[in-house]
Amino acid sequence: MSTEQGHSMTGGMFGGGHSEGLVLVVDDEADVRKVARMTLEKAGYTVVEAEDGEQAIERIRSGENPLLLGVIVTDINMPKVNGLEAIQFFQKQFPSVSLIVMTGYPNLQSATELMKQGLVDYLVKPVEKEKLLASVKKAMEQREATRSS
Amino acid sequence: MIAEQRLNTLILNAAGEGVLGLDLEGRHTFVNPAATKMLGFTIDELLGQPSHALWHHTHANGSPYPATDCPIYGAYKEGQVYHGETEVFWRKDGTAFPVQYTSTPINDELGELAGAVVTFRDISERREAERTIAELRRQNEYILNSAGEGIFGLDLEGRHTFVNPAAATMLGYEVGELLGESSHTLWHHTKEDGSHFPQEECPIYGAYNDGFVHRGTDELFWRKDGSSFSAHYCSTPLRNEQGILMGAVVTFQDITEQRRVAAQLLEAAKLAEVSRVLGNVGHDIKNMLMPVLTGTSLLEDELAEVFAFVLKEDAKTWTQSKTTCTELTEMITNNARRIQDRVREIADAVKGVTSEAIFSPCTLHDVVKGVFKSLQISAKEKGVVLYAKGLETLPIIQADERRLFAALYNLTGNAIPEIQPGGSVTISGQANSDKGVLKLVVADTGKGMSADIRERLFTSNAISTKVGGTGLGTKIVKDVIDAHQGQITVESEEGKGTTFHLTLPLIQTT
Repeated sequence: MSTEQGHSMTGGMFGGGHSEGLVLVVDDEADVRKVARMTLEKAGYTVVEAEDGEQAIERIRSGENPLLLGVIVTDINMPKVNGLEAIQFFQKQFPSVSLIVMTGYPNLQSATELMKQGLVDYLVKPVEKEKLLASVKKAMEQREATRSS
Repeated sequence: MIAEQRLNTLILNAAGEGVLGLDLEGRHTFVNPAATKMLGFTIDELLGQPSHALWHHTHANGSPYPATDCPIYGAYKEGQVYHGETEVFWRKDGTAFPVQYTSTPINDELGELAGAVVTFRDISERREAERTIAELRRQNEYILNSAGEGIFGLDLEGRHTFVNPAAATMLGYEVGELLGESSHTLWHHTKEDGSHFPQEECPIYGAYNDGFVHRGTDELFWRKDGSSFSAHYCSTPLRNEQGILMGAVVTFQDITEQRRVAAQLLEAAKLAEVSRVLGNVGHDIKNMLMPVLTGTSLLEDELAEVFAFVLKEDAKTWTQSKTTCTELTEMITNNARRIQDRVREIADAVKGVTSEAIFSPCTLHDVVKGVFKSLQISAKEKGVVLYAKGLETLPIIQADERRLFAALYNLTGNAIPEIQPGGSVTISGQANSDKGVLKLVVADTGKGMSADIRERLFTSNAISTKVGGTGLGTKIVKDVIDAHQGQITVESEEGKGTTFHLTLPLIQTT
């Protein structure tokens, strides 16, 4: 495990050891990111964190190989570039990356809209550990399916 | 002499009034051009002909006017001057015009009565103007009488000079009872705080005292029966043509209803704001609960691993320690879940206030099952049993399921903490297809409520008797039932429990 605890996308993070896949967690609450990271890391994923959409885009761009990114788990109510804008950006730039929304402010209309646009899951906080893992697993499988097709 | 006659003729010809001379038999002896013009005859047609038969033969109402009745003849025969202004003269073409005329007897050189001179004017225009004025006056009166605002006039002593019916009605008097009476002493004598209102301070009085317009917002006007109402008014000084202050005209409105609506709007705005804040707080809490719940879950896993690795050198301490850890993590999780439930409850309440009802086919039995499932833990903790009776056979109704859930959740959830262990909440139902309604009864064996609490129950002023309660619960229930065009009543006696009776239509009509 990297000493930087997934705060940056350095070479070690991408290549080192066996990983179930790379997950980017975007949330403005550090503790939410932390529990998501711990949950996912325990299940064998490599996790990168970002505070908001802008930082998320930055992180992916500065990463060595953005193509390795499998899943993005993002909040939608965040300062600066919010999640919805970020989702549009991700979908455009990395169409093969699977997206999961995780929000404390659920909105049926935007959920329906996002699901139509190919969102894998729309999770309402507080999200149970098992549910997050199941969602990320599903998202990773979808990502693999897109990549191999 | 001749010059003088010529001058007279010139004057007669130039006169705007009709001038004609009559002999003792009433025949025309001379006629000036204005007279021929007004009557529509030529001079030749008139001279020597009897005047009454030519242009004075019929009354204005069309009835014959006998010459013997004619005041023109009558007057000069008696040597009297006669003024008339209620009659008409007839033109040659058979039309008539209203006139003002004067008949003056004339004497010959010997002083003998020789006839009369009649001067006359067509007063159609004046009559028309008079009619217009009368019409205007009627209109003004009509406006004053039908105005919804109270309107009255005051003289310089503050006595009513006129009062419109709206003003009298609002003040609880007859118009006649107010006229001539002092306005201030009758209905403006006391301030809102109950103290005397001196006339010198009164803005209405101000208008006819200093000559400026004065307005009053929200002052009390007192009715004859001693009750009062809030009024807005405007007191405008009244001056005569010379600009001298004569008194004041006051218009006023009863603003009780306006105030009530304003208060209602404020209340609604407050509620909306509270709902918004509660909604935001709820979402924030959900966000914050995520690290707590997921973190605890991770901690449990971590502890399990730790305990698996730690040597069980001291088996007793190890077991104790593991039990404590489990108890603590369970406690954290349970309480976090309770916070989550409470937040959901608030969110549902907020939705009840802010969103439109959506009606779809709904099975009450399933709704009640859902409610009981959500409340299972708190009921169990309290040792309270939840019963559903006769709900399976109820027909499917048109309802907003989320709202019904919120209502039944509130009724049941509110009851549980008030019930002694071993008590129960029972929801039973019965359909009345003839009336197209379904009746639900939510009965508990709790401590019941006092009359005071019962009365405030379905209002925003309801008081919560529970620690941390919002007191909004039953208001939400009422809103839900209202949204379904249903009814809710409550029976309760202290010490004997509470029973709510809900009536819901099977089908929603718009």
